[in-house]
Amino acid sequence: MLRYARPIQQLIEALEKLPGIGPKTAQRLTFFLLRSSEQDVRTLGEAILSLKGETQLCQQCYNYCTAELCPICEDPHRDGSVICVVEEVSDLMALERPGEYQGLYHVIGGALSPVENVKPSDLRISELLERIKQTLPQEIILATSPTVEGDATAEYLRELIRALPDPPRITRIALGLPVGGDLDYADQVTLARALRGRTVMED
Amino acid sequence: MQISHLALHNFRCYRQIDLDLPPGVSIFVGPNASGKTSLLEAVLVLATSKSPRTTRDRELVYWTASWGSISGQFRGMDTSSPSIRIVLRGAVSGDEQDLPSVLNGAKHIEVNGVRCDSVTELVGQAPAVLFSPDDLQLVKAGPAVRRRFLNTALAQLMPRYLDDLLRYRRALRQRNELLKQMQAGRAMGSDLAPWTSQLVETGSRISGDRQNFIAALGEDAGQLHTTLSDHSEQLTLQYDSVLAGIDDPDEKAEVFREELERSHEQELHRGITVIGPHRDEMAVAIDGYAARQFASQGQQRTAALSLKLAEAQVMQKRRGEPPILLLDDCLSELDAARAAKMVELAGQFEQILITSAGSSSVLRESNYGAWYEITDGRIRPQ
Ligand SMILES: Nc1ncnc2c1ncn2[C@@H]1O[C@H](COP(=O)(O)OP(=O)(O)OP(=O)(O)O)[C@@H](O)[C@H]1O
Ligand SMILES: [Mg+2]
Ligand SMILES: [Zn+2]
Repeated sequence: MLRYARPIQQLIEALEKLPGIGPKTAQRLTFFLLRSSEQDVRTLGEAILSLKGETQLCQQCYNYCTAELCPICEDPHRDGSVICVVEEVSDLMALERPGEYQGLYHVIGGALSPVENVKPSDLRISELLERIKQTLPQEIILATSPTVEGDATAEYLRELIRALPDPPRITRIALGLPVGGDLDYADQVTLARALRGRTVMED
Repeated sequence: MQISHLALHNFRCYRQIDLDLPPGVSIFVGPNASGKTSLLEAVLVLATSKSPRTTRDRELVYWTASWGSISGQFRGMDTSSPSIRIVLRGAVSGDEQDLPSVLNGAKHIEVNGVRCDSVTELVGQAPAVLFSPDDLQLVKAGPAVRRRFLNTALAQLMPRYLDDLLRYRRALRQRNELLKQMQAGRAMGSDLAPWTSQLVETGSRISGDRQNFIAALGEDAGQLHTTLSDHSEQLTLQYDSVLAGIDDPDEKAEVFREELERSHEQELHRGITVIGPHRDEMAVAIDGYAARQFASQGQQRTAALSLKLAEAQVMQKRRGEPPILLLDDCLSELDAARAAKMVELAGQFEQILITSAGSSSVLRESNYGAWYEITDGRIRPQ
């Protein structure tokens, strides 16, 4: 079989391992880079290297950052009495985007899944319990995803947090309806779930 | 609901067809292996996202094609006139560049031009009921076939049911895996509780839906069977389940939880969840005797037909709109009197697509409908 020169072949094979990239795309990207300027390729290469070298996990909430604590945990204006538990950093980013939430986070690093062999000890659950005992927040918001796995993880956490001495209030993020849509346009499953998750109207 | 236009591209034996369909009856006549079942199959895939013949979507695409598609324009009674498009990946991997860009995975589903992230957004949009010679299995085969029948009907009636069903299966799979790990001493008993909760929550709703549906179905199927069997026989349905006979949803959940606890030793021993809706049965009896064991071929056939017609009727009543009826070569299996009755009963529906290998005399005499000829993946109006 005819093979490309070693450096080309090497990069194609490395790119192919990335999610969503097949042999064809890997080839296209490789030849694109070959034609790009030295400077552009260097910037990309350095960005990839520093991704691993300089990124670390926040010691308190396990967000990605470049220091001991992430900007959210460091921010004195954030409300330390509320901790929002999410599966991944991408969920944290999504919750930050509206600028509504002022509390802190805890990234547990996934959801329970026996099928994928994710056990409680694989998630940052003991770290969460320890943090609650240390910082005594008033509320824990469970914002794991609304999948079977996310819901099971939320319930698992709820039971553990409840068992703590003087436990905080525990809430589960509500599944809302799409904004701007009339009720009659919302899909039926969303509506059914929203109805089941209804809350008492406080005055 | 009615389908006014169907377009197939590399679907089964069809390379390319575009077909306008009128309301009322359409009759497709063609020899064996001409593509009759495949045509109705295409409509059912639009309705339910799945083929009744296979679980491997790849098989639906023309042998040598890397992808295929089904598109349908539907017309509802009120404002709902969904257009549905499903693109499927084939068994042969063609050039990636030739695949439609929407096809990232194995299957792409689109309703009114918007991509569906979940099948729950599709199923129920354009409901259909298929009658086929295989329906005999509904009475003859084991409980799994009848559970599938209940699931297909209920999913089209309420998208919420399908959501619960998918979640139940997921929770069951996780729970069973954990039971196996516990068996091997690799997991703790306390890890089981959240999966049990997920199972109980979705499972008790599924059970409630099935219980109500079987009650409604039993009433209609009983009447239909009496009509089809010339008033001589009594067909009855019964929901058989650990959760049967409980009306209150909270009580159902509580009983499910208790029963799971009671069976805990057994499930630990076997490494699987031994009770729950995944073990449900809809028992079919004729004159009090289990139809599966005691009914004759003819009786079983009539019972299956009654069940199917009842399914269509209950859908019509609950949705306020009839489903599309798809009759695949099923008149040839009936004697002339029953076939005539069947045609008469089907006539109440808004749209019926009928296939037939021969030009059946019952159909000729009924003297209605638009006629088409199918030959080797081509369809021509007659
Ligand atoms: N993926 C596929 N690609 C191409 N042809 C297929 C594919 N799957 C099945 N076929 C062929 O399509 C033809 C039509 O099949 P279909 O089941 O629709 O026939 P039919 O008209 O219902 O026949 P019968 O009267 O025997 O039930 C058959 O010859 C079958 O082998
Ligand atoms: Mg056929
Ligand atoms: Zn932090």
